[in-house]
Amino acid sequence: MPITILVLFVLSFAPIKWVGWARWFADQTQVTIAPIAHPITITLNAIIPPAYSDPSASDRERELAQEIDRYRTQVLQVRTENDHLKGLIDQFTKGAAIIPDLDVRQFHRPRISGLVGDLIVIRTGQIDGLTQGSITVVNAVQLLGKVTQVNRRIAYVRPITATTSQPIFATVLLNESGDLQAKCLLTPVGDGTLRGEVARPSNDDAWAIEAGQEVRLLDDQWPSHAQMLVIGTIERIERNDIQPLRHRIIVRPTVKDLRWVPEVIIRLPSDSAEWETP
Amino acid sequence: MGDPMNWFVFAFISWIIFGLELAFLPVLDAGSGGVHPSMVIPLVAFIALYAPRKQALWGAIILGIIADLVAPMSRIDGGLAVIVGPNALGYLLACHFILAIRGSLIRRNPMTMVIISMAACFIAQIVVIAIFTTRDLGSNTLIWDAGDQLVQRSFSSLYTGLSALLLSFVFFALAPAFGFHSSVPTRFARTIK
Repeated sequence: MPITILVLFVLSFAPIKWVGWARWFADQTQVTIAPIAHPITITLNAIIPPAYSDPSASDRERELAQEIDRYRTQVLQVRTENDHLKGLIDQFTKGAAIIPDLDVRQFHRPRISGLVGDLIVIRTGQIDGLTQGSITVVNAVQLLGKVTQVNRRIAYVRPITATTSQPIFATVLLNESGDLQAKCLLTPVGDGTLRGEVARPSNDDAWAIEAGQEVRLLDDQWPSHAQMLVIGTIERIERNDIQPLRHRIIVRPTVKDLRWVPEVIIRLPSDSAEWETP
Repeated sequence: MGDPMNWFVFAFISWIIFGLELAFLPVLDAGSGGVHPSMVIPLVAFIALYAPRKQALWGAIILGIIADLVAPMSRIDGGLAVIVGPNALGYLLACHFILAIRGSLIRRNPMTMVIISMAACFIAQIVVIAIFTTRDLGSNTLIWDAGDQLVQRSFSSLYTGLSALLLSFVFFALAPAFGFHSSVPTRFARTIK
């Protein structure tokens, strides 16, 4: 017992690089607990379904809304890509290389259990081609987060609303067509929302920041196939006493709680290397 | 001294309890702020109330190590770090606390489980916070805010009273399966078999 206590004490304060071996044990523990946690999660989801943005919508309406969201996202991505290509052409004429765009493949995978810390555990891994940084979404275009850690059959996803997530750059669509946009930096609050400040580019009424406007990802730190995915909608606008010209917005994802989705959609570049069929 | 604990039953019940802990986490999260009850601490409290001293301590260490393995810490660079020890030491100290006072407790009472679970959870969380805060002073590699964690885990300790109340009925019913047949002698009474 005293030796065990001493060992635990040493391990508690050991540098992280010395205790990397513990990850293998953690993975095996997750695999061991999954057979009991997953059925409980399925039962809970059946009893208390996750809340989506419009709970009264029928399945058909929800499908149509998702299809519209998908096409809208594609239009916005194409528009962003056009702007990007114009910049690349400009660089190319000055001698820079052009990087070809990527096609994306998507597939569904279930969530195994609730949370491990801030992370969602999903039943997929390296056998499906996942790597650290792979993108996950829900409801076709709602950004969920990045894969933080992956082993052969299990992956951990950090939702964008987790308090341990990094801030993300986003753009507020000020009108339906998405022509007018205002950039912002969103930071997770810790209650399922993100907070950021956005400045109106002009005093023109067309540039007004209002509740209900859509906020989408526009961040170079994320892969190109994740750009313009939906982060959420502006839930409310708060006064910014320090900088009155910058609006402080609270953005809530279209899914009420990103940590409690029954399944996720993995988005991978079509040419992601070396994945095995299960 | 208490009857020996059935380790197979302990392992099986621990497996179920950890499954419940992970599955219920988002459901029972109060205000999505990370405040949630622990299902494992009531189990620690239960075995500390009934099991022989040595077995209770080892049981607490085992549960604490598993708790460390299923709750990795987030790193500043976006990765995860599994640090074995903080929860194990916290649960061990909490178990010591219960062992020290169990002689004067009414064991087969749900309110006893509620009170000692809340206290045990608070003690365990204080140990965890102290360890991670000390680590954070030396090297800033983990995402850790001691103040936030103290508030969050304090409220989680209070919330654990709810899970303890519900689980106490289950544990009391399972006491014979664990091998707990005789009571720990109280300070001023003879042993009751």
